Amino acid sequence: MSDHMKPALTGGEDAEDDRLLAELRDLASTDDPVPLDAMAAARSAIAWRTMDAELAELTADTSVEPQLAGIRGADTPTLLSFDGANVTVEVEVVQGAADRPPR
Amino acid sequence: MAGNEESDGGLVEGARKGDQRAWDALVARHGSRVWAVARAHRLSKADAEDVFQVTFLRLVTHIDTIRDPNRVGAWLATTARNECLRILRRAGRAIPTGDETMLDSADLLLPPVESRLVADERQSALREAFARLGEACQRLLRVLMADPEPTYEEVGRALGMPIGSIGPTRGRCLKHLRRELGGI
Repeated sequence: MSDHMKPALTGGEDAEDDRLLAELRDLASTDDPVPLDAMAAARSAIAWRTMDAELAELTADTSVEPQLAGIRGADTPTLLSFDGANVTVEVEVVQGAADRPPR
Repeated sequence: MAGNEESDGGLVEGARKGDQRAWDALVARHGSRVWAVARAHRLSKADAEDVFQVTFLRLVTHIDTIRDPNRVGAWLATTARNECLRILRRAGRAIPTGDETMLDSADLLLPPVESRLVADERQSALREAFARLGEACQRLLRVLMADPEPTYEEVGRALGMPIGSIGPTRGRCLKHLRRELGGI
């Protein structure tokens, strides 16, 4: 390990320092640990990344067959459902959408 | 624990590929250090949680472009510090005395409620002695109290200290602490 990584031990006082710091470290883990919900939330942050990747695959994969979720008639919207590994994208196809007010 | 043997570089590579276990191992390994940076800056637990979340969210966002994955700890320390400074600057613009934020951060070490009935004299003495130290020493020691202990590079980034000053300051602060403890 290179010099800038760890403290250098030079003698007895340093061992005493290390022991005192170890006691303080135990105290901090008792008095002021990372809140469990903060840890859990941080762990879930990676999901955003995998979700982005899956959506990218979904739109690029033309072999994915849309499942017709339901056809209710000429004037009603068509629902298409695209299934990915962990994500489902539902698309509503509306006739004459250009005449409708934007949502 | 899974991932304890693997290098930070290996875990970053895994996280880049979306491996949840590699990411969990990174959070487990570096969480205490990121938390310690926030608390060393005397942020309330609520603000420290914000720093914690933002820091790891930034890691997810930037993980592909980290230049040296084996020094991701230093990257996290820098990011956490920047978030802390942002919060402190915002708070600085409106400093009401008796503000909840200030009160909450007054004691960096406070025994958990359930243990206050059972007095551990040594721990009580340590808490009191620590509280009597100057700001700079409390800040440095709080960062060093993370588990695992940060590298000096990480400490330097976390607190804006030159690496060469960390060893001597550490020694001086622990000497002050021993003096406050009165040789008990």
